[in-house]
Amino acid sequence: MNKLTYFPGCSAHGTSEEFDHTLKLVMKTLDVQMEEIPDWNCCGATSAHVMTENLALALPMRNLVLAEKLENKTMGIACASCYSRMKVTKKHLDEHPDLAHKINTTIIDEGEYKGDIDVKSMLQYCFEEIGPEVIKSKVTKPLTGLKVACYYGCLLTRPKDVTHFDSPEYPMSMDILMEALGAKAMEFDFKTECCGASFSISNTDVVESLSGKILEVAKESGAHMIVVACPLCQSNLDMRQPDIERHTGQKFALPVMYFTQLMALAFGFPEKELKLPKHIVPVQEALSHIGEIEPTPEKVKKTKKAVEAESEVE
Amino acid sequence: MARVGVFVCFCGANIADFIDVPAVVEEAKKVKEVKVSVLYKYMCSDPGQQMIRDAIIQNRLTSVVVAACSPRMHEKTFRKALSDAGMNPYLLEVANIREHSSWVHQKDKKAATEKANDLIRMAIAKSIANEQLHEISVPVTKRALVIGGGIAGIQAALDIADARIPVTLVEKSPSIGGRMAQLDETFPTLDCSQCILTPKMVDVASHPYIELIPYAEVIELDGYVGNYKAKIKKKASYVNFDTCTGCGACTQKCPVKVPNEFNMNIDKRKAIYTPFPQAVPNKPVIDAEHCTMLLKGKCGICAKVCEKGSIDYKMVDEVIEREIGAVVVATGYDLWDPKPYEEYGVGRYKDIITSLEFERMVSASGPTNGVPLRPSDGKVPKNVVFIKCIGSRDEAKGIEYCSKICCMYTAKHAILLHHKVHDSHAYIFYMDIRAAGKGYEEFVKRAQVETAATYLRGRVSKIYKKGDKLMVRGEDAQIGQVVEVEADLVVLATAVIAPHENPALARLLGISYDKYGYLSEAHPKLRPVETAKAGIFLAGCTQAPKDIPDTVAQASACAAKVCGLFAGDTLKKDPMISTISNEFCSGCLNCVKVCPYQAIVTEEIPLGHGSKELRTVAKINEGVCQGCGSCVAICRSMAISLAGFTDPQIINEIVAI
Amino acid sequence: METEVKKAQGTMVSAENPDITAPADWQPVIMGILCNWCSYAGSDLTGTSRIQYPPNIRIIRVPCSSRVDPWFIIKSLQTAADGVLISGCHPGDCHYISGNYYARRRFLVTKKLLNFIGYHENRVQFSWVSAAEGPKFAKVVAKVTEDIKQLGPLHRYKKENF
Repeated sequence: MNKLTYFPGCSAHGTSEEFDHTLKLVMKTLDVQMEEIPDWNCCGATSAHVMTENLALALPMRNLVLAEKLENKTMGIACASCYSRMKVTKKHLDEHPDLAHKINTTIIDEGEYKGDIDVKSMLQYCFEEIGPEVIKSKVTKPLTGLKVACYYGCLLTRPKDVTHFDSPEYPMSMDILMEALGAKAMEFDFKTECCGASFSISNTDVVESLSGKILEVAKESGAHMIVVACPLCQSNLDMRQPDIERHTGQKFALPVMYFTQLMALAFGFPEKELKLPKHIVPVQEALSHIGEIEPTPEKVKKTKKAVEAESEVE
Repeated sequence: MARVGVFVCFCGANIADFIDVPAVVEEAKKVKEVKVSVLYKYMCSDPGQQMIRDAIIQNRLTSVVVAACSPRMHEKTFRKALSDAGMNPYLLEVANIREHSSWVHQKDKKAATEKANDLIRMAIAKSIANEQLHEISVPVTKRALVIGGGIAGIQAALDIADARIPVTLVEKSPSIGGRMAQLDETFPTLDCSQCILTPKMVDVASHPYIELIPYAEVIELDGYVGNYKAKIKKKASYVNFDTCTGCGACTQKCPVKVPNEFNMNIDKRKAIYTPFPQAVPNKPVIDAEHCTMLLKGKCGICAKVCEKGSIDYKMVDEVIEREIGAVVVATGYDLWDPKPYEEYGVGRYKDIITSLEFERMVSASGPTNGVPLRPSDGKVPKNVVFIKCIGSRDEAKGIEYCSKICCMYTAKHAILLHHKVHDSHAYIFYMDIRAAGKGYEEFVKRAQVETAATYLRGRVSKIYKKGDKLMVRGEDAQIGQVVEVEADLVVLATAVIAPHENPALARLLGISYDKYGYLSEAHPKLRPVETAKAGIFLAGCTQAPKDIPDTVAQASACAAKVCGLFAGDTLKKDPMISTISNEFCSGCLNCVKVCPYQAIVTEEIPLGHGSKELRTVAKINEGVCQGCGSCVAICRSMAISLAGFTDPQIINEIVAI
Repeated sequence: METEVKKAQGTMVSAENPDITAPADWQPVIMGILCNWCSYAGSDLTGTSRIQYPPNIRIIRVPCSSRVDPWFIIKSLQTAADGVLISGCHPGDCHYISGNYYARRRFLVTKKLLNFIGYHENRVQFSWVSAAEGPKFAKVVAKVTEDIKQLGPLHRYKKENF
């Protein structure tokens, strides 16, 4: 039994309830005990660090201090934005030891910052701590036939010096996880392009143009759906999709699912556990591809010897 | 008893205004060894020097102290004055009372005068311990070794050989020609590269003073300037060059195909091959890594078809030795691997190629017969996007420096593309256009006007696939907007980097290299051709990125340096070097460890006078020693002494105050 | 206690030996040993730039800082000098490739020895001054002079001796 300190973030208790729910299901299957940080607070997200640096570090720091009290080695974070703020704060605090002391006066002092907890996104945790092999072994209902475009967003792998996880430009961890579930991960160029993030509220046009581009390229890749690991990406790509379709005249019909939803499905949980009605773009049609066997193009099978000979002699 | 003359200079007002010179002259007279102490307005002038010469003769001086400006300024002048008076020039000492006193203590004449007194006393004390020194003559072997047979090595070898000095040219690959042989046309004149290069290659092969050793590497260099010994490993070619006529039958029949390095792996070559049709020497070699006969003992076709019986599968590597006097290093450059540009899909998209791949394609003798083709489907591209500074000027992914040649060759590529595919269009993303050079700016203009190439100032942030096209998204900073270009082909101007063998070669030669692997010149401005090690010179991109004109100029400069070095029968050398006394040397050899020039060797000498038993002592190689004095300070037995800066000289200075 | 009394009387007291004192207008003598290629050239540049610095330093030229034998430092302190400054090329810029690295290591050991036998650590200082750093040389000399002044005389006041 692995133990994991869990930081859900505000969206997991709201817009991304399906992420939180399925995450808990799959973690149980994977024998990981999640311990939610008691009395956790907002990470500050985009608002804090554009206002004051001190507050932007103080809010995540309080969570880190609380997490350290739970005595688990690793802290898993559902939301990409929370993850980024925690990681950035941790980097700052680790590099400037006197900073923690200074910041402690900003908000309620919860105790000393020790810096001995490892902060990982849930995608990173699944990939690095559990591993695709173990995940594959838990699959009871492979997602064969389902083509997915894995979308990481801007924060899960960047900045490189902060996250130290996967490639900042063309990551593959989620693709590998999806392949472990039996799905086909398509070549997708916009894996880490910006979705528009919190401009969704203040400047919807920007989000429509940026997310629209992501949807366009995902559609081009031949995927049935987009898989994400970030609540805000999910909300932008899913919620804004009908508007984008209306404004651009393009038809995408690309559902946007969390990687944990697909894991739950492949682990044999019934569809109702995925909370599909929460999605705006209907999911059923895409899921119907599961089980489809792709017609393989006719290939003349060559003997090993013939292949070897060809490479040397012509 | 020493007889010292002190000559104090006014330096116009420079010294006299801030130091009480007459008092200084009187103070010097108080030192008992001082036989004459005088002053003059300008000691460095002819009358001033005459004063010194006369005083030396009249007073039978044993050493001279000139109190004037820095010795770095006029030491040579005054040494010559001593020589002219028949005195050993190294009996001179200069007391620096201008830079070190009058100019830096202008507000305190008393303190400046006191300091001048001390500095003169120190110089007097030191001069008393000065010894007569004589320039060292080193014999010189008049043969040059040129490492690398690209345009730099070719030019250097030809220029040296034209001065009737024998040259040994060593080239790593089977043919000389280097990178320039891979180029199609050259900026800014669009001269065909092969047309101007191949005659030079042929000259090298036929020159009576050039010994060409292709398919070989230098593996050892011993000795010092004028007297180097090089070991050269000749790789087994498995073809007897003496009998081979270069008919090409073997290559034609060879069944093994291997990616062709000369064509940037766009097509295939055979396992027995000449790198390109105009190769010099035009004899094939067998690639031992791929030949099935050498690997598995199967095949043997080339031996069967060779009428001359030149194929010899049993040939082994051979080490040859040459005695040489100077080395020119011209190992050229490599290109940076753009793999870190993951956001461009490098490695995933076949239609993203490097500039040198493009160069090979547009070359008339290239793998696609001079027409650029998309590697994915073999179609002729219409829209071609060129992206400059790939790896250059990029601290995050590549290197910090500018590769210097990319702006120009990209302009050239735009023109060549236009020539080869008339209805094509070039888009060029750039950071700056650096076109400093004769006819360069005009050439870029020509590319912009003649081909109507679209120059877009900004970086490309993303390349993604749309159908069979590549969408190139970048910033056009001049309109302040993000633009997207639909491209059939994307060409990356990858950074010029130092050959990866450079650090190993530098260690082998005993020269230094910078953090990028470029070999270091002795001085970035005033000695750009020499290395810190005497007799080793640098030509071309091995020192820093350069275009062809600069490379050729530097290569010719190397040749001039080599010819200058070989002008006399012996080399003259500063005598301020270390010597070791056998009597005191205990043979601990700590000096060997600290010597930056490997100038200290060991020697076996009899244990005692007439003894048959031997003991090891250290010995200075006069030709190599540069006189830093590291060995002197580390020697526990005080067996080593550095001429001009001996322990007695320096201690005299210290106790003189 | 005694030291404080002497200080109050306006005399300079040696940091090493309270018995050694000098009048308040006492000026230290500093021995500067500079490498020919960087620091000596740098000190020349200070001169040609007419940058003023305290006149206490007496400069000896050596080819490389690696030529500096610890003996020179000790001899200087034993004879006239109240402090010693050694200066060489910046690390990596040594005219003789690697000499200044040897100098730096040798200097650290020498300094430990000097500390051990009772000299204050600021008596002997080391710096990197390039041929282009005229202003820096002046700053270094000013600092070293100030440091040595703080430490007081190392020798019995000269006027008594002569």
